[in-house]
Amino acid sequence: MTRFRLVLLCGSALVAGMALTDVAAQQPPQYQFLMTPEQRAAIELAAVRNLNYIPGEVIVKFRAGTTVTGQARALDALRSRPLPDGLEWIADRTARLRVDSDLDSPAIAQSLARQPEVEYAHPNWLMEQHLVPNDTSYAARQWNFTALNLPGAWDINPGGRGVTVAVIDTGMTSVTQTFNFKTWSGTAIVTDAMPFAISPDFDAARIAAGRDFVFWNGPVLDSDGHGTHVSATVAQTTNNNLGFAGVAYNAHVMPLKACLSFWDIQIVRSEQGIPGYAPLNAGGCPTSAVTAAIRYAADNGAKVINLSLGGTNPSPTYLDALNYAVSRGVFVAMSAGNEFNDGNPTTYPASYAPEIGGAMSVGAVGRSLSRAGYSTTGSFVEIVAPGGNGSDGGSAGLIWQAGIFFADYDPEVVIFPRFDRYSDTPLQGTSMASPHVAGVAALLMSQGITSPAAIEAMLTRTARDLGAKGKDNDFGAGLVEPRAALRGFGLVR
Amino acid sequence: MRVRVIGLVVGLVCVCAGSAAAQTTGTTSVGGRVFGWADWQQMAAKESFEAVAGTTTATGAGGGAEIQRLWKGVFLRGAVSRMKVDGERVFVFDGAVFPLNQPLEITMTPIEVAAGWRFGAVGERLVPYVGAGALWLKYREDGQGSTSADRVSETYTGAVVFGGIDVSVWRFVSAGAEVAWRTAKVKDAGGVFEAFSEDNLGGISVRVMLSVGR
Repeated sequence: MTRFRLVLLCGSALVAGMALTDVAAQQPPQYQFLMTPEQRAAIELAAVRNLNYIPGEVIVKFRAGTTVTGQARALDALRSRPLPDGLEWIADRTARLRVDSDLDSPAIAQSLARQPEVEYAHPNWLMEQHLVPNDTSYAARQWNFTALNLPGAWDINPGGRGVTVAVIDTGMTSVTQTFNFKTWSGTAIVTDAMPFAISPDFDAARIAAGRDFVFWNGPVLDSDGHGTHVSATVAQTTNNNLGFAGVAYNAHVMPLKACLSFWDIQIVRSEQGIPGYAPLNAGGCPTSAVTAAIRYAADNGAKVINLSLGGTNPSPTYLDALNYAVSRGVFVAMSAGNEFNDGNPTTYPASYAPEIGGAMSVGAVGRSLSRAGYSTTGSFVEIVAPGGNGSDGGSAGLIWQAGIFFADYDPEVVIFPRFDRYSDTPLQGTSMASPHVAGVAALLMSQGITSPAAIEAMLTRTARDLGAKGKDNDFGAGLVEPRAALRGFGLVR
Repeated sequence: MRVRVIGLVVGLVCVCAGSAAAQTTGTTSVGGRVFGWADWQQMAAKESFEAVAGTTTATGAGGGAEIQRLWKGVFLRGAVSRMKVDGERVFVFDGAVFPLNQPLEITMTPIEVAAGWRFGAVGERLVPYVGAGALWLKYREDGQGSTSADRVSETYTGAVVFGGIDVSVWRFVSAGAEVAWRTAKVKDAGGVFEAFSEDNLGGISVRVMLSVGR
């Protein structure tokens, strides 16, 4: 894959049992949108031009000891000569720089990287969710949990109580409320009451305080569905006679929204008074937002992070953020990527995982436990989990969870969306595999393994070897084995 | 194996009984004795036992029989004992031990067949001896929540070397103390043994014994 695109439109299927949720009284938004008109326009431009970065934005890390004068000298190398005041600091010595007069981010980054005061500089890459779109028919079976013998694992640890898992994604709606957002009606910008609701199959008490890094400073809302599906696999309410189960069903989920959906862009565009529709593929996960979310999770009590996203451009900013999180005792699961059939490129941030004890890249298997055809391979694949594969069992071979009812917000046909109804939703991708591992890590944390590196070692050591004997590029160490990991070891075995 | 050991013990008991009877008539040829012991063992695999059980020692009890004076001071011994250690399953990483709150019951049943030499009496009542032999150690790991796949039931082979002293306390009854060194290596050890690069289920035992016979 040579370009980044936000894959917003997942193939989801409508099946029986759609849950309707009451809508609270409409309230005007009291919050501020986080995107400036320039940033919103840049993200739209990225979609139109199929760019895998936000035009005009770079991330720069200065060398230790660089003074403000030094920073100014380095920035002086750019044609626009921005001042250090314009740097938005996102981590230690690391800042996001926006240059509206020059949209060629790779060129800006290249110029900066040549300066002696600069440790590295790169465009603010747009990551994509690792989801393979599909259309399926009805089949609501969680073969994936049976394949992992999760009931056996739950006998040992019932659901990862006391652990918080941060899901850095498109968000998971954390309030049941209707918001008046502006949107384009086809002829004019109008205010539309858009209802959002917490999933009826997710206990609201287990949603930890989240944060939106990209859309606004209000409550976390998912207008895409990806984050909701991923969060459901991690920790959906279980044994409640409703819907599906989650791996760590007693854990808390901290929804951190770092990925923009089409509707996020459309709303901001209309709020900023720009008529018309945003490009259908507008959106993505800015590296600056994702890395900020990683640090936020580590600083606010999360013990596990799931990253079901990635791209093909290296970004040392990720390495810094991941190392920071692991140093704070946080285990990170990352999807390995879905680009096997697109040249099988190395994927980031997943390919940083082997460098970090406590972060793992996760490939996907289908129902027969063979590698899912899309699942990226390489030496950086460390473990696999069920990610679903429509070619391996049809719709029954996908990963089913409660998701936002897609027909309510399908950007191709819907003008006035709603996000308050849920349906059984089948998806596939390494995006779906990674939250299995994140959930198992939460169970292990709850069971007493508090070191991220130890969790990685345990998962690796107890994985069921698949494919070639020993570690291989298709399956890494093999299929995650939750019960074996939770059981631990006796003296001789 | 179990049948053979029981047969050996029964045979020795018969020999001991005959010997005791012979003693009453003044016979000094082949004799025997039966004994029981309580033992305390310092495990060779200290780190592994400390990790799963919080202790490096185990206590147990056992017993056996000896055929004595086969030729001068030579004797043959058959003995069986049992040690049980309760702990929990763990994960060891970089030397750190993570307990997993999964009960672990370790049962070790060493079976010893040995030969030894009983020295002449020291003073009127003290008889020192030494011996060595083969060891079969039946090893079992179990615990609440274990499935058949989790359980371990293996027999490991090794050796035993021992030495002690008997004190005659009354007619055919003796008390004694013995120190034994046992070794029983686990081939291709996994689990905690692997983490600590240990493989020996043996150790040094101190035994307090009570025997009947001569």
